[in-house]
Amino acid sequence: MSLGWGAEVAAVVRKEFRVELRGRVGLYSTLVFAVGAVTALGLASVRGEPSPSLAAGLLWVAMLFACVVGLARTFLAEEEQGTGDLLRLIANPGPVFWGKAIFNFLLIVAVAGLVVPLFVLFVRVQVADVGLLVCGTLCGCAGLAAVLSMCGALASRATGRGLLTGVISLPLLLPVLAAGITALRGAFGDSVSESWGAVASLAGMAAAFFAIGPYLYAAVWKQ
Amino acid sequence: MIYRIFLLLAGIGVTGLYVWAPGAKGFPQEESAKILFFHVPPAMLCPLFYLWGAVMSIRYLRTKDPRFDVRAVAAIEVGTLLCVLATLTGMVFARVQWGAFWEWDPRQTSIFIQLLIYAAYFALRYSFSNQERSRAYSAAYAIFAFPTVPFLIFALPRMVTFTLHGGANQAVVGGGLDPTYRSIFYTTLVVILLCFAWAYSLRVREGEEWLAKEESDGLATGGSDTADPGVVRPVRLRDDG
Repeated sequence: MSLGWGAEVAAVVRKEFRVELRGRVGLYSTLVFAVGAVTALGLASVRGEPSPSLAAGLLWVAMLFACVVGLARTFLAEEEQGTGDLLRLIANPGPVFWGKAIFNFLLIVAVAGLVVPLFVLFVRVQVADVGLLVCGTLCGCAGLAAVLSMCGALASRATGRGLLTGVISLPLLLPVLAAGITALRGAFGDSVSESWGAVASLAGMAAAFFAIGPYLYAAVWKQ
Repeated sequence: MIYRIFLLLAGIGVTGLYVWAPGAKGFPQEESAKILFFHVPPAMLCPLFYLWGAVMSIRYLRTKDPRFDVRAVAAIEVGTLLCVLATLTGMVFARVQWGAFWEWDPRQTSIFIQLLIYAAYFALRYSFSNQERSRAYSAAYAIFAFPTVPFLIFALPRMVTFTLHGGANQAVVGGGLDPTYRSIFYTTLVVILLCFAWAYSLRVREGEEWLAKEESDGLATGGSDTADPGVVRPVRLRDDG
């Protein structure tokens, strides 16, 4: 019985959630890293409030720190557990990529839901524009999810795949972080006219990555 | 041979023009600002080579013809060399004009991020034991990474309010150079393009010779180009007697 495209994507997302809830390695490691990073940043800012520019940078570093550990695992785990070949036999590459990328996006949004309020609380930054904070964070999460999903997929069959995922995804995430920092600077009170433009750039980058990711994954799927 | 002689003469000509050209007006250190003849062209040309690398990668993924992979790697190698040159000459330029090698100027930052992104391409490429997989996955990375290049060139510098490149941008891109200076600048650009196109063609020829040798031999030459563990490849026994 063959499923439709949407049903296949939904099946992959459900499967990822079930695997994650069964093992919880990615979830726990991401949460521990996220809370640990924010706590360290809070300790560093005990004696003073960081500037909006610095606070925006620190928040994205905390998000990056938390996500690189857990998110790329979705593709790596298939190869480590030997289920990648089975997946290639029974599924199509497009829905597999989309399913895993959507799962990654939902996980990173959940992480952001914890990290951002904790960061505001611990580091004591003033939020001047909640709308900008929410939109900037969501678009940044989409960019992070797209890049980490694709890099996880590309590194999954290489030697030293765990290390390689970080090596190839970090440089690609720097443009995302640069735009994300500009967006959140405005949210934390810096009078930056480019903040909404940066949100648009983040959305554009995420859209470009999500648009080409499935085709590239399909091209290397059976290699 | 004619091409080599032409490049040699062009190189001598450009060096002569560099010595002869007057100092660049509008810069704090006018005489040393002439380095822009060798700094701006690499920065302008490296995205073209990256674009060509992405195009060749698309063709490789469509056809699985390794000659396109050879072209893609050659283009990205030459692009990365140009990126290194742009970064290094930019640092020297910054030290003389701004007083420090590194100022986190948006253009300095964006070219450096580009360099890191394409350095990761090589890290990925040499992480596979299977050659075809290495080609396919690195081609996918080259295509995936390319959208960051226009973002880094056009969007990132406009997102940051401060820039130390303002005067230089106006001079080079905004047509602020005087006609003599502009002629020297574009001559240098063309000569540097021809030099690196030649380097690209040499690298492609070397890669294709290697491919031809591999096809005729059926022998792996070691390094990252060995088969997967446990895979037996056909090997032709040499008959030297």
